[in-house]
Amino acid sequence: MIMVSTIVPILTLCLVLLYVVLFRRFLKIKSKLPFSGLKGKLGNLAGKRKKIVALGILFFLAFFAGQYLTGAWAPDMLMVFNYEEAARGQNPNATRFNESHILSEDILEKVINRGGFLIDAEKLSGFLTISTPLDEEKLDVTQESNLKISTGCWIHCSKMVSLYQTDPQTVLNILADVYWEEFVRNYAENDSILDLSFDELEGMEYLDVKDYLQMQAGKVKNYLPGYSTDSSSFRAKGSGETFASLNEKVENYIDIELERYESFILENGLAKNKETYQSRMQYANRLLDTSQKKDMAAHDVRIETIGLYDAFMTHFVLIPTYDTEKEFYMSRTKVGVDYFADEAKEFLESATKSMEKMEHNTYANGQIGKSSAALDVYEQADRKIEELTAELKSLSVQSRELCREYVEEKRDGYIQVGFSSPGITDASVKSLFYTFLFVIAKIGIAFMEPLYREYGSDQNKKREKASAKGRQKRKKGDMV
Amino acid sequence: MKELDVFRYLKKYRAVIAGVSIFAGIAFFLAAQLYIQQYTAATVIEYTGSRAEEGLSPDGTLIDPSEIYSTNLVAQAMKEVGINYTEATTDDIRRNIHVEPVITEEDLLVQQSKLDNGEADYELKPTQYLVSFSCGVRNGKEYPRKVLNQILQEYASYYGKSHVNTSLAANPVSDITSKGYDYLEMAEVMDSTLENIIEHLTDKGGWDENFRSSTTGYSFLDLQGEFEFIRDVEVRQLFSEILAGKVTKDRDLLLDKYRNRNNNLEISNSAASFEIDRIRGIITAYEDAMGEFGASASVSDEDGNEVSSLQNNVLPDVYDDWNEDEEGNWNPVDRTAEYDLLLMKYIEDRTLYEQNLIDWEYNNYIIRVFHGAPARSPESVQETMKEKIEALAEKINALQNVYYETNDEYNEYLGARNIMMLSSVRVTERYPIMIFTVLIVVVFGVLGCAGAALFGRIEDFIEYYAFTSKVDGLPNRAKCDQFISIRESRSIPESFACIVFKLSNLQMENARLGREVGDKMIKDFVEILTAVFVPSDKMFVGNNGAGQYLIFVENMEKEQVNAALFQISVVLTQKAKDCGYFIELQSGSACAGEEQCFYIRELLSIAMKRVSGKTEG
Repeated sequence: MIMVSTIVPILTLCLVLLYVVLFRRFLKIKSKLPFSGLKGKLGNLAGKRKKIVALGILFFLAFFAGQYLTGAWAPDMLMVFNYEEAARGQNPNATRFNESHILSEDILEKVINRGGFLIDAEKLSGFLTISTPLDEEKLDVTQESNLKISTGCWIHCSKMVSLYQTDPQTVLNILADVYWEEFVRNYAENDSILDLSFDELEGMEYLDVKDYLQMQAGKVKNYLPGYSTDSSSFRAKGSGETFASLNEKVENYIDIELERYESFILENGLAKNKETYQSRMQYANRLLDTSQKKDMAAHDVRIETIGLYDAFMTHFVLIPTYDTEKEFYMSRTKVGVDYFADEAKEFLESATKSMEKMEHNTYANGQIGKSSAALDVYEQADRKIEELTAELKSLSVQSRELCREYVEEKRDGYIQVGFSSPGITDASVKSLFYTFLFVIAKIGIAFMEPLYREYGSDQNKKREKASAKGRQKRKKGDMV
Repeated sequence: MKELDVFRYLKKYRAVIAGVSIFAGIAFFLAAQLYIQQYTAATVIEYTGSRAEEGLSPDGTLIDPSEIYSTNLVAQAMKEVGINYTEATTDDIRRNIHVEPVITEEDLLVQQSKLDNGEADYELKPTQYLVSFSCGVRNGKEYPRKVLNQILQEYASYYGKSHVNTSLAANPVSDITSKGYDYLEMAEVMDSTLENIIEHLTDKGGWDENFRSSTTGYSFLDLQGEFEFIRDVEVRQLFSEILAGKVTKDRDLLLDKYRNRNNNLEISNSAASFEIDRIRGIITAYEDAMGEFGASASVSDEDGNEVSSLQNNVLPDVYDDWNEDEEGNWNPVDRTAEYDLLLMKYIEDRTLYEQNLIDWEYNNYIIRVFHGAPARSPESVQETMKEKIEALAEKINALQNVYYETNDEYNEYLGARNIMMLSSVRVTERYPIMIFTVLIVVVFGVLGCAGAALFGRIEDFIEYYAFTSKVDGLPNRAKCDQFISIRESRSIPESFACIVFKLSNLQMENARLGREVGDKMIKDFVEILTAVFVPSDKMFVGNNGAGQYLIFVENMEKEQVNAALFQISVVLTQKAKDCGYFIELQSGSACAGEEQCFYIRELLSIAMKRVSGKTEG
């Protein structure tokens, strides 16, 4: 096919040579050209007209075919980035978009491996060029309208790539596939967090299972709000789920189902290894106790300091300022006691949380200690775990389906790829123009042909022969 | 000598002028495209952080766009793009990067307005910058785009890391089992590491709860949940197993460490209690001093009661927001009152004191637990514990790597959020080579024309003094020889004709009528000759110095030659009659076509042979 791509350059070269010949002949015989009787002389071309027309048609067809087939064989590829952030020059994950990455070495290496091309990345890079429609416009920073972000780029692959047993379109096709995969892997929405793993549940304490499932459910919950704020009205076509409804389901799972499971475990004091668990709870309480004491100490110190604070040091500090409604008013600036009170409140909250946890641990510890649950209760707990796991899996699958549908609708595959098709009109117009030049050259040559034969370069040889004959003739005359 | 006619010279040298101009144009175009032309990649960025309009980064440091071409970022970009130092050095790249602020007319008007309104210290702080990179065409058009894109990519990441998201928790757990710690210490290190990581993640989750890494799929909240689970369940379990089993590598060493910790705590508390007492003293003194100052500044109110003049006063804006230090750096003013600082220090010391007591109590608990422990736990127990710790450390490390990877992407995200792209990177040619080429062609054309006129005129002088007969003004023998020599090696056209004239009675008439009449005869003859055979590009009329006049015509038939000869004889006869002298003119002619002779010397020879015997006039 590379031979086809040489048709147009060869024909163009032929045309140039034709004009060189025409011009040379014109210079040789210009003094003999009968400009006054040009019309009559043109009439003498009647015999060659058919030949010129036939050659013209042949030239047109060859040129057109060369152009069209080359265009079809080696088209340019347009990559359009049709996600919202593209217009801000960003990837879907809001990091900076870099179009040069399309032709980066690692991408080209993958293209070569996938296509099995006998070429290295550096050479392939030399055959590929990238351009944006905005490259033609000069960047004028004084005009705000001139500052635009291109959301598409053209990639051109040189025909010379076919010297390496491939063709431009194949290279571009593989490049588009490889880049899309890389793009999705690095910059697109990644829902792998929804691949929830429950392997760790094996051998886990019953009460830890609740925390583990809560953590996994938290992942599903965390994943959904990102979308729900974007499109609260989106509904899955099949299930009719919305982000809000699914979010509610996950919350119910955490607040109701896991809560019920925990109550069941605590009620029955279930533990896989009673001693170990009790020991852990005791140690946890020891740590919590330390933490709670520290928080309370910090709280007490601040309360003590507030008591120390001399009221005289604060009561005249007023600040003139504007409120949120731009009304002028006098604000009392915050002073030490305000901050100390805030800090004391925070430490107290933290201490309270620690205390709550300690009480919970103590309760759990006590329940497990006095437990005498039968085997069927344990079996019941195991079944509950299975049910909870299955339900969380189902929620995860539903979330994934909903997000995928949403991404498909919103992102439309992230990148659209298209190839330039050879325009029949453009190819025809260009071919016609070149054919016109060709026909003009042929007519010119045909017109000058008889005169050139008479006065052209071939005459020199004849002259030399005639000159020699003349010399002989004169010698004979002299002798006579 | 010929008259000065510029157009004659231009016509003569037009081909040379055109050829040289076009050649110069082509040579310039090729040289310029290969060695002068440059590609320029350019884009516009905008700092969009909340304090960007004050010229500040989110971390409060001044925005410094020159960081874009800092050595480390350029070197990193070169590495990413795969540019070797043999191709270009860091300085080569840096030298060609330009960052210029974009200042619009609107900005200038605002500035002028502020200055006019008395804000003398108003400083324009641009947030938009034009970033460009220029390079030669050697590496192609894609090269500058690639380099500039990569540098901006590195800068976005650097900006996010250095000016927005500056904290990242360390990971001392990575090689914990190889450090010779006791098991309890390992568990403590793990616990504090997790505590630290969770604290960082809580902060980051609070800043950007919607951020999720595309590479790892994790958000900071997800990571926080996982780390918390490990801390609350697995690390606690590890602690309880160590404490319950009293597992240790070396009990005495462990106990010594905890005793030593308690000693340190006691020392610290002793120092803290000393400082607490002194601070209490300072606070009291400060309050007393302020009280006295308030009393001395007291005034009487409307009811005659004394109140402090400081009370209920409104503080005007008496301080600047920024102070300049000795090195010229501007720092924010600390507005905390001295009294508050004293109390803060008091709180710090008191809290430390109380917490040391609690830690002391915890250390005693550990000492009590291990007091009855064996000097060294059995190998099998230690092995099991080591395996558990290794497994847990591996798990923490794996999760920590996910955290680092997520954080790297977060830095890029923050960079892109705080440095917006306002334009795609555009690559353009720096110089309009085509326009310059046209100019070169025009300049060479003009210079060529001037040169042609000068050279033509010089040629005229040379022609006149070296190649012209002073008697008749025709080309002399040397010119005739030159004319023949040029043409002797190539064939002449069929229509070429050669005519030779000779004034055979010139010497007789000179003797009879005098030299002056002889000269007049020559001039009259030449006048008639050049009137009939007008010298031009196609017709050469010369005097060969031997009394013979040579005429070479490129396009003349035999009949035309005969007609011209007849015309000359008629005019010459009439002229002689009028002037009273007699001219005996001999002539010979030869036409290439008729003679079938296509070499000039042969044709001349034929014509010369025919001169004798023919007399006209």
